[in-house]
Amino acid sequence: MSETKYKNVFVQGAISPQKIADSITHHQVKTQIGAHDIFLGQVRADVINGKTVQGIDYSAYEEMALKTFHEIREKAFDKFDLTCMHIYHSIGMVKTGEICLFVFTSSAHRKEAMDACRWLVEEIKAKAPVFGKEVFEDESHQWKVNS
Amino acid sequence: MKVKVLYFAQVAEKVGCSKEEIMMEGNTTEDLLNYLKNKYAVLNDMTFKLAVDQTLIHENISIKDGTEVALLPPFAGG
Repeated sequence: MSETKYKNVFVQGAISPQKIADSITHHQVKTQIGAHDIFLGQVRADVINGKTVQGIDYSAYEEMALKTFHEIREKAFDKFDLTCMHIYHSIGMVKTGEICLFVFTSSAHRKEAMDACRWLVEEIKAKAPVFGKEVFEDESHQWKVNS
Repeated sequence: MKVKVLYFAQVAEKVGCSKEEIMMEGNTTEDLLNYLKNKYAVLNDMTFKLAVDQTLIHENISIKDGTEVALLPPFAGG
């Protein structure tokens, strides 16, 4: 991982359900929060030309990606009335069924948390220079493109 | 002038390396692209965007000696 002034959002490999549970637990002391919204991206076992995806190997232009995540985060705080926000994205291999993206927004009320979460996921998919190599069960691969 | 070029994902795979320093004539991103497409014909058939010093660009801009330019194929985060 390179040196950077931006918060690191990358997690090596899959994001564990325990990390998500711990993150929820950490917010129980923040009693001004009335609503959380969580988005979890999970690697899907797509079947393409008869071959099944076994996982996605994520890579990124890390310095630019961290800068982009930072800008998205700043914009979200300007746009929505949030108490806090967390973003984690996998780097490296994530097997099908495992979690590769965790976006967690918290606010006093549900609308802000839900609107912000949806907005963040769309921004991340469109703007973060993250790449995904879909690896098939026979070890061949193709490059994923966000729709 | 000298430019640091970074290649990612399918672009890196096709050109066969992930970064290199090149010496080029001219001082714009278009000059750089012409140089790279001449060096790696495969780039003519690929979809990618350019980032100059970690910012996406959408038009031809001038670049300086030592600039970092990245060739970014379509994003697939999330």
